Amino acid sequence: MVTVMPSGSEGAARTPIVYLDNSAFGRLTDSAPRVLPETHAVARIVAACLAGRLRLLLSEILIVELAAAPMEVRDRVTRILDQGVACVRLAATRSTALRLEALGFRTNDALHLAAAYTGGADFAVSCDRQHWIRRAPRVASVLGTRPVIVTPEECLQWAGLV
Amino acid sequence: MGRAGVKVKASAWAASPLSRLNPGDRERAIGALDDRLSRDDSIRVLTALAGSQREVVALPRPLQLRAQQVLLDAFPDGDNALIVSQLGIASVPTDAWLPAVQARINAMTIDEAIAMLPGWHAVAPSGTTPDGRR
Repeated sequence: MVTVMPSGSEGAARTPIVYLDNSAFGRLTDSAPRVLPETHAVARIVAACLAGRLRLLLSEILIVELAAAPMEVRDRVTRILDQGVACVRLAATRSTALRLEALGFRTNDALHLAAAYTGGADFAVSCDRQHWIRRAPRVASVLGTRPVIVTPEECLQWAGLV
Repeated sequence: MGRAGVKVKASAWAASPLSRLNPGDRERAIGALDDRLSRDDSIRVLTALAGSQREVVALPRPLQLRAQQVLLDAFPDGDNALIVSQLGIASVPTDAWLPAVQARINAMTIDEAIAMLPGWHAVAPSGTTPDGRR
């Protein structure tokens, strides 16, 4: 089995699934003034996951990247990853990632976005405006309406958490 | 607002780090730092946390790391990471590590990455299994 999703994931009242890339997760350990609003927005998203208002989707590519992060980052983020509902394997993302790569997406972006899609995420959250947010319409042309690619602040609005 | 002090003000960067926490979490954080650090260290850390993010960043790195660990131990997992994030203690800029990691991955094709990256779990976060779970 390559991807595990919780039961009851469809239906009008289901809890939205959110996928954060490491530009977003990394904000949890980044308190520079210029990114502080994003830091707080990501904290609110994660708090919503802890409270059961959102479900946190993980992926192998996310874990691989975090493995190379400084220990202070890993220690903090790993505690949050424990709250994830599922983890998408790299191999499960191959066909979708190849389609995104053909569109010009970098390998890591293609793998993250493919993981969010494969795992059934409603929102793919990133702070990378150049490679993710700006290209959201292009991703939608390939993957359809889910996941919606959003900034942390947009995720809060879309999920009704503002 | 729930736990972990995530109520955010628009001018959050101007507020003292401690004021970002809800009162219950703030009390618990102050109590933990007061209990677990030496008197001099707790005064230094709490003074900075009651002041500004700039003062927190100016604390000696080893002291920030000790304070961070005290806070991580004082709250439940998950919540504790958010508390520390809100306080901005022992902060690590994303730009200090993520671009280099991404560059290594982006030097591979999709198939190379799928074949090679699972091996990187050798240095995965402590206690996680290859699928990222504890």
